[in-house]
Amino acid sequence: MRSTRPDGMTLAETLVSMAILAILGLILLRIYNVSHQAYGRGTGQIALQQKARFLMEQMTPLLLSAAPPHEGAKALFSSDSASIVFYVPDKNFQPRNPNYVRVGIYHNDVDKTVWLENSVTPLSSQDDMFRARELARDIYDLRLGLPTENTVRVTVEVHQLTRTAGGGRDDQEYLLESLVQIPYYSKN
Amino acid sequence: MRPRHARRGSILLLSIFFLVTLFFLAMALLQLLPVELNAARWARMNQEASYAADAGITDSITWLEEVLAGKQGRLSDLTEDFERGGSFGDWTWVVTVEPDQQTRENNPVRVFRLTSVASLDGRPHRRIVADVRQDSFAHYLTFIGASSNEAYWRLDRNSKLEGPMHVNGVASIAYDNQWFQTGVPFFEGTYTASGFHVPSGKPAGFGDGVRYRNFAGFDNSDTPYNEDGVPIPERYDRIFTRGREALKTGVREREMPETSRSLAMEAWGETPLPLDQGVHLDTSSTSKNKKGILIQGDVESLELSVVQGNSVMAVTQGTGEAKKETRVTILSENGMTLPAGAEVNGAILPRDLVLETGNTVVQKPDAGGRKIFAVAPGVTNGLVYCTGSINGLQGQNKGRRTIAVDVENNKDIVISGDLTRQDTPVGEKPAGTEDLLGLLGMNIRIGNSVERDLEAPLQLYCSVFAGRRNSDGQYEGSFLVDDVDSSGAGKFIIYGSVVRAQDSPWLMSWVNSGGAYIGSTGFVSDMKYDSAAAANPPPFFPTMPTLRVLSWREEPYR
Repeated sequence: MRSTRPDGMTLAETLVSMAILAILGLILLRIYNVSHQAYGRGTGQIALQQKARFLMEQMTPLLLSAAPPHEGAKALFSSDSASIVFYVPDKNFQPRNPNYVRVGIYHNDVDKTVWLENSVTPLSSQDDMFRARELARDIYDLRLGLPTENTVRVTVEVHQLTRTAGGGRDDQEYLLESLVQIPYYSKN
Repeated sequence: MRPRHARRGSILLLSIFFLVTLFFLAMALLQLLPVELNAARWARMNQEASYAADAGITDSITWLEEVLAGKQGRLSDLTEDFERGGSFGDWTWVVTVEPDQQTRENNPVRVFRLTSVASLDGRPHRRIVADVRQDSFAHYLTFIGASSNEAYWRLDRNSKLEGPMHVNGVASIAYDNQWFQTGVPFFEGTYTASGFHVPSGKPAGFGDGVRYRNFAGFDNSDTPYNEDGVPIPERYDRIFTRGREALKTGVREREMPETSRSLAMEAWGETPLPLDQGVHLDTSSTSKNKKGILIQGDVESLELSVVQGNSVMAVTQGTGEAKKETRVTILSENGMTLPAGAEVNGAILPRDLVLETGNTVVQKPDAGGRKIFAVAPGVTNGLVYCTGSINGLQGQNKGRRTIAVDVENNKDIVISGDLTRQDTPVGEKPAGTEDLLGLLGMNIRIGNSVERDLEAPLQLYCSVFAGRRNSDGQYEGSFLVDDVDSSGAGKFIIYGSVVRAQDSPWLMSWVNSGGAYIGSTGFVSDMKYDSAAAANPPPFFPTMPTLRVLSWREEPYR
């Protein structure tokens, strides 16, 4: 017997199917967007971490080399939370006649760079020649504290703008905090 | 009707679509994971490598300190580079210990370079290079071997202690009742004390270990910590420039050496000391002299001077008829001509002898109308050792020098006038260490022949080491003032360390029966810290069995 019903789907079936497909598509698009955003945030976070860790890896050995410039002196000095001054052994260090050069690390809040400055001659005065070099850039904030005489608390804050799913921009930040304890210089 | 199997294609397509989407999501996650894992693993490995290399340095320092304290091995065995090894978890470390050149030349301040390499599975990862130097007593601006209960530091608004201070015993500090409102920091360096004072009625460990007093000498309830023992930082800031961290109590005792005999050996060598009174110079060596000058017997006066750029010591022994004068000249800048007919090292000179720089000449008292000289190559090791007391010492010093007497037999050095140095104008702080002077004796005394004038202070450019810890553990001897309780008041300024076994008073204040101040006797003291001398002390100035890290460099192994 020949069916009177035509081949194919009815309008209702088609509409239902399209609706389901549309919902599925939207869900997938949403998943894709969220995933894409998560991926973007993830890679952004990694980039931020790398930036902060890179600065930390540059600063840590320098801070570990800090030493009192003469007997009875402190090794670390900090006048404000954005800079630190310390002394490190001179290139031609002689243990019986120890010479140290002054080193300063500071954060430039305007162009968001971190600079290293060191005196050219050992134990130079404030007026002496200094050599400066950039340690890192795009560092939103660098805070340097001295919880004890021989410990530096370094807090690096980096920021990055990422695109959100809705087309907006998200300010991503990463905070890396580390305590660097310089070796002891005299035991009690 | 369309067959059922014809519709299965759309399901397949949908499945593939989902699979591909999920695949890309998984790939994205997988891409992130290893980066994170690697970063974490690398950071952990670096940290472990640092700890392992650090462990190697700490182990070596501890071991070297044991050797220096005479508890393990002999330091004289440490003449060549050697290695020490150990492990730290899965890590191993190897430390190369290199004694520096002067460590081998009997310099009592030993210096080592330690290179520690940390490895994992035989692969080196991290290296730390550290220079360590033995601590010297010259590190302290002032040191007291045994603090008596009655001695304490009075905080004074018009003076300060510029350098580190140590007391074996309880630290005691006195101040007026307005100090925490108007006082200015008195201690610029650290203050360490081996004792720990607990206020009466308080449990063990309460407070900071210091005995705080008022000016009448009684315990002061106005302390820099509150009634619960919690520090009040702003109060500590009014006592110590570096705040609470500058104060360390309950630290280990620093023992002063019992004897100065080893210095006699450094001055003369291992052969028995000559017994005849006088100034002796070992002339047997043909190479540059690494020994010092030995003086047998008491010395009435020892005057230091600089003549034609050379350091000269005029030594007078005996009095009256027995008075003998000997002149020691160290030819560091100009040569000297010895006249024909003079006796030099036992032989008569047939003609004039021209001596170049780099020699040491002792002109002994004339005998039978003939000039007698002893000449040795080299400018000595800087040590002048006297078996007796030196009853008068003054003058200008040139060269790195330590004048020592026999501590074990209670010999003293009496300062009879200014002790200045050629490289530093009088009144200025020394900048270098070329003309350092160290004094070592049972008592180092400011003699009663020194004029006491508050406006014209006695200038002392020297580091002082007075006294000893005897075999019973008692501290004897001091840096003191003769007739401290009479003869008016003067002032001395000392540029260097003052290390003394006992804390004898230098100044006494007198009050009448009504309690009114009527005057002072003795010497007002003004101690200036010489940080250069602290790092590079006078030759053979006593050392401690501890090591100080001077430099530290940490780097990845390449």
